[in-house]
Amino acid sequence: MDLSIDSGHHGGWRVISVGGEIDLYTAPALREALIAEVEAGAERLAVDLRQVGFMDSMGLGVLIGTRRRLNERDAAFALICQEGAVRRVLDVSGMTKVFDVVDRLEELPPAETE
Amino acid sequence: MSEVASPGVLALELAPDPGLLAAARLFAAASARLAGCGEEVVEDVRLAVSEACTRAMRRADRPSEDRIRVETRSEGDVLTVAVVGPSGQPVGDPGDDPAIDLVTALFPGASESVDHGVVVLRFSAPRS
Repeated sequence: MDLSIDSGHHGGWRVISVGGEIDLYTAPALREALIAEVEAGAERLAVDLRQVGFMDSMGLGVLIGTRRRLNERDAAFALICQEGAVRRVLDVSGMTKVFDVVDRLEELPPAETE
Repeated sequence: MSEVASPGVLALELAPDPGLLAAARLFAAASARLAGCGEEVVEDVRLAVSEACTRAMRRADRPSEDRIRVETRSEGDVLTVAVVGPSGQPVGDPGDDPAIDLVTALFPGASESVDHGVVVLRFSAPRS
């Protein structure tokens, strides 16, 4: 089962929208896509997981690695995720305390104006 | 709730191919539903089986020979799930494996045993 990965912008954020299931098979593709965004210099990166039907610890590892890379240059990282299987994984693993998680795009913190 | 069909053992055997993880999850979810587990438990079983199979696949060092078996057994009030795989190569630090952490967080009685080159990860889920 392949992953769909699309990109866009919303309110100063670079938004990567993911669809499908994230596991050992598909996580590398997500990792590559997010690394590319980090290396392209994203200052505010959000991953939209609302169309992801399943995610396990392999997906968590990709998100944790992305957050670490962005932290190294004080860039913002957020997840868009509603109640369901993915939110369950974040809750059980304690990652809702680590990541900034919002229910909707509109809830992403606005970019600070200079 | 109506009585569930006669209890029994269901099993799926697969090669250590990550592309087959989705099939393992479908099997796990179907088994849990057949056993009468509630939907929240079904999702937890699906996640735990994915974690266990992932762990087994990462250990496998003979992809053409190694096999991973997912077995579900309905007995009384519980569905017992066992994921059996090769002991193969170690995966990272044994004390720091997010897969095991997630399985035990979902099913606190989960256990892993090693015997004669085979690793068995076992947990039990409540049937409604």
